[in-house]
Amino acid sequence: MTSYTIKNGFAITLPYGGSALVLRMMRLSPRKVVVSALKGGGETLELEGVKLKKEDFLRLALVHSGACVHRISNGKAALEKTTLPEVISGLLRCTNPNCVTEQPREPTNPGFRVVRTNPVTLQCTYCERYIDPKDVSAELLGP
Amino acid sequence: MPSKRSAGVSGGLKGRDLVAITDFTKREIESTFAVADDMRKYVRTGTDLLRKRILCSLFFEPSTRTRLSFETAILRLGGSAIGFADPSSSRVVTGESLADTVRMADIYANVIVLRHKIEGAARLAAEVADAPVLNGGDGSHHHPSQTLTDLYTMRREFGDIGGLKIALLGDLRQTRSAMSLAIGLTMYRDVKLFLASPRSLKMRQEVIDRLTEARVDFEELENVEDVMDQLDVLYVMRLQKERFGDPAEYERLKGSYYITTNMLVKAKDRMIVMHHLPRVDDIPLEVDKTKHARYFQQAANGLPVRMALLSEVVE
Repeated sequence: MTSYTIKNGFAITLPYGGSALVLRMMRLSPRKVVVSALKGGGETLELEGVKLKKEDFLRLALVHSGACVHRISNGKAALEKTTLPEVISGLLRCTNPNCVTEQPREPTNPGFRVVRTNPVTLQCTYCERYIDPKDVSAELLGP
Repeated sequence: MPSKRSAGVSGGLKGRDLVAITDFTKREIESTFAVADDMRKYVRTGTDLLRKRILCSLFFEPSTRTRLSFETAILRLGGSAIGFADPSSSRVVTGESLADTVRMADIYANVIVLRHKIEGAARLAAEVADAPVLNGGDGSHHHPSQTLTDLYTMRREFGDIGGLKIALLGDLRQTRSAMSLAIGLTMYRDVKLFLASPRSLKMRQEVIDRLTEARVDFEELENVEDVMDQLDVLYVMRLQKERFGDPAEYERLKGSYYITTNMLVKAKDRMIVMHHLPRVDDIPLEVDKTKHARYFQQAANGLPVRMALLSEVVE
């Protein structure tokens, strides 16, 4: 069994690394951050004293489809589900400027169907265009 | 106002929207075609099946066939048509949103036909209107009543669409009729589809994935002459000048995907040439006189098909 440094918080295993980007994307303020290298370029990111919301799991699953999250409580680890729902709403904007969801005065409810999970491919429910995985990351990372 | 029905709910097509061709099942499409066959006898004389019903056409982009055939269809069915063919004659010029414009049309009409350059516009209209919304084309996205007309034309020519070898030629990336038809053909078994286009105008990946999921036998190629002798249908798509961001790119490609009578020499006797019209540089006039030309019959089929569609969805 993997042992973790932190007592309470979350441990995120990233098979391809990228912990700095995850920290930036999730906009968290943990009391303590521990990053450990794994064989093959992966990393484990331990975050002491944070609570991850449903939206944080979604963000993680969108950018790191292979990520594995454990909740750490009093030093004990429990696996958390990070699967994507069929449709995601509220997190992203469509990258097609000719999509009705990009028209500021129209009352749309933007949503994205998850077409594939590795790499994550999303499709706008209005214009049905795919969003490039790179654009998903850029959108979630922000400026 | 009756509440709108969803696809798959029993009660037929009454009150249903047609935003994408897949909003109807294959069975519903075939039943619409059977009604279209019946409607053929009324295209000149008319009937009063939809007496006192009103169609509102909201055309934010130019149209000849789609708007005129929908408006003729409601008139031939005994109803009336209102709306605009030029948004500058409406409050849209003062900044009224599409959703509010559709809400107003919904007050007056029993059915709304919308054409708009914005993709997803018809889906939004269907969300805000109680009356059925029929998509008359949204950007480079869907054009389901054109697809119904195209499938109906193939069915009339060959009896069965299943098993046909069909080439789509031209701008497959930006032509909504191409995308809609390719998706519509996923409902028919054993269709062989040839997607012939310049590399820069290939069919979008979203459609390619749907063809793959539906296990459609398709092939992407640049020169349609390589398969001309195999084809039952050659469907020519106009290069959409209005959808090219770069005018130089349009000038470079225009005319590169036109057909000639010489190209048709290799075609099977029963092969038909279709086009959603208007044609520009893609089909020269001499092709009109060949046994293959069917684009004017195809356009004419749009009337009984749209009469059938209206008679099916309008309550």
